[in-house]
Amino acid sequence: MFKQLYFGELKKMFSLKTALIFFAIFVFGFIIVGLSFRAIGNLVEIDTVGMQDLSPMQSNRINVSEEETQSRLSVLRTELDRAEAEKAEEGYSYYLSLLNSMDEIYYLKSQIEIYEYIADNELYHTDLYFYDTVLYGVSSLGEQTATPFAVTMLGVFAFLLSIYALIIGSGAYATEMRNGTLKILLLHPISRNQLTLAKLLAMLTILTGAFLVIFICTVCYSYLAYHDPGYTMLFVFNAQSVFQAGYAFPLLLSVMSLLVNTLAYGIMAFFFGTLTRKRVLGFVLPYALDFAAPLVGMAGLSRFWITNVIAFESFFGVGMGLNTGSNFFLSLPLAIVYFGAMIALSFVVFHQRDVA
Amino acid sequence: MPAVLEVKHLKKTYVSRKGAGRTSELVAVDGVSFEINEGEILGFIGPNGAGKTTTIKMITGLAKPTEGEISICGHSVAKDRVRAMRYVGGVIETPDMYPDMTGLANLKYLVTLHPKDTMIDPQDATLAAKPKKELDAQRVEDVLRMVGLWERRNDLVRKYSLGMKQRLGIAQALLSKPKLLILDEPANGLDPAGIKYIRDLLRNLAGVYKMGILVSSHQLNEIQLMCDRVLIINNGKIISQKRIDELSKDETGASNIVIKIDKPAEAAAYVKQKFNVNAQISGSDLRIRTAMDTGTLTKELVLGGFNVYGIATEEVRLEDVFIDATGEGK
Repeated sequence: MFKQLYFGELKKMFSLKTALIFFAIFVFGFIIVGLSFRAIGNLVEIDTVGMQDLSPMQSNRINVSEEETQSRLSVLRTELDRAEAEKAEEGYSYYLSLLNSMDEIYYLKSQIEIYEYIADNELYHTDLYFYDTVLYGVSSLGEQTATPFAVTMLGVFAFLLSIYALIIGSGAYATEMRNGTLKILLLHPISRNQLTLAKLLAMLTILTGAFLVIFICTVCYSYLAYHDPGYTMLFVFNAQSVFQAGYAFPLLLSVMSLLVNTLAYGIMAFFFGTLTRKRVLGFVLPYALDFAAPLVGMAGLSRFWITNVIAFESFFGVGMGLNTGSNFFLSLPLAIVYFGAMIALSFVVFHQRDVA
Repeated sequence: MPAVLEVKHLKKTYVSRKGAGRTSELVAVDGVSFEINEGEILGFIGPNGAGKTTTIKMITGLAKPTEGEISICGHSVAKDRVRAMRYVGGVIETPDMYPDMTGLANLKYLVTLHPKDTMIDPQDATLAAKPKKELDAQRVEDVLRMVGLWERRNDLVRKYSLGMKQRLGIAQALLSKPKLLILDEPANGLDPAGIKYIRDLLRNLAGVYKMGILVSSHQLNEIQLMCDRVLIINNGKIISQKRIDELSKDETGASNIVIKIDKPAEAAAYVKQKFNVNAQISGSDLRIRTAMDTGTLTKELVLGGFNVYGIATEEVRLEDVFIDATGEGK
């Protein structure tokens, strides 16, 4: 019985017309973004110095001797002590980050972790690379290679996917309420909870499918167009532990970022659409939450805000994009609670409600 | 005859907040009780806002009653809505279907939501062995032909006329061979031929398949022609409950009888003396109000020496009963 419900919802929710329109926008955007990144990459390669200035570290390549490591460590530790003393003096202020700003303490801690990792494993006189932000498909190393290119492009398409998620999610119940088809549906021997579950799963399936299309297209293109230098890279997780992973590991982070983001927007739209019975509110309110993030940041609550806690990829850099006070082990339970509550409330609200 | 629907003391109160802790209560349905038997068509009439649709929504579990009990074929809607809905088919308010699907696709989707055993005819054992898909397809074709939409099955529902949507709505309601069929304004948007077609269809469903049918409508002539019994609701309360064939009778069983007779004045005096009933004279017609049947009355008058040219029970239109009961005409 549930299988039929699920496939029915899948069929109703997936509109070929909408999907084709989005796919056309994606292909068009893909060509524009791909070509322009390519052009920018060629310019940047001529002037890598300027590019490196955009990075907080001189380069994301390190090749150090034992002495250099120790002196760097002592400098960084002094800096950290100073920064922490400053924080202690002015009080550990959460009221600074208007936008996702870099936190100095996280940044210093990440660097110390990296140098300690080098010292512990005696990785002296070796080329080491660590994960850093990428811009226009160019890593801070100044060259355009497959993974950074794919990661940047996927970042651009996150917006497109979130709109698709809002369209699909907001319509799940609101459209049936507006069309009056919900009355017909509920005259059938199906439970309301099963219907909500079917709708939710159908939505998640469609969004995962849409994500896969974009992900596969982008990664294929990036790896066909650019070479993969095949470095092993260092990652700093949650500004406290260093680990090594392959050059393509950032793609996994992109999956996390993009898929989590897409599904989260879908769930928010589903929840608000069900709660308010209005599709337009289901569409607008998730964005309203996103736009409210800076205001919440002014109140010092950035690290608790629903649209911030799902930015898991920020915990794998070198302190970039981490909000003051953010912690992976705070964000993860908060995300589970927020979205779990939205899903649970969708069930409860729909189960209790009189269908007008 | 077993009841397919039993409604007991149904009540629905809407509470609206008026700010500052003040609330106002609106009683939409107030202590409604009735039942529908197998093979019976019950007309459900009342002025706009009387509580018809609210009652129907509670019966189908779309709205939750504040008080009262509803059971369909013995299954409580409050406790086990899913099981109770197995026996129900219906259209509520408007026959809304998925507009971007064809009529056929709509039914093909909805039929999958019914369990297999509702598709099986107890009389035909061979059906049980067939896969559900086959049974579903056959059922969809059957109901589409039944409502006369088979030729237009591949058109998108958004291109259907209101009458066609109405037919599709009824087809959808019949998919599971329900024991209880609930139709809200089924004649809406249908042309006269369509109305007759649907009326005959419903009479056939009640007669042959023993369905209990609840029809809510404003078209009182239609209700009078179609239904066995009628329920008049006003301000959330049932104010009158009558069998259609007894519409002309009042509480004592008396009805108006019109007699064409040769000497009306003398006949009036005769019946006054013999049966102690007052008769009114209009031209050559004599009108009397009595519980006696026309046969006995004719015999008595002929024996009294009068020539009876015609005798008939005066027809009462449901419209008059309705306006009388609801006081709408005043």
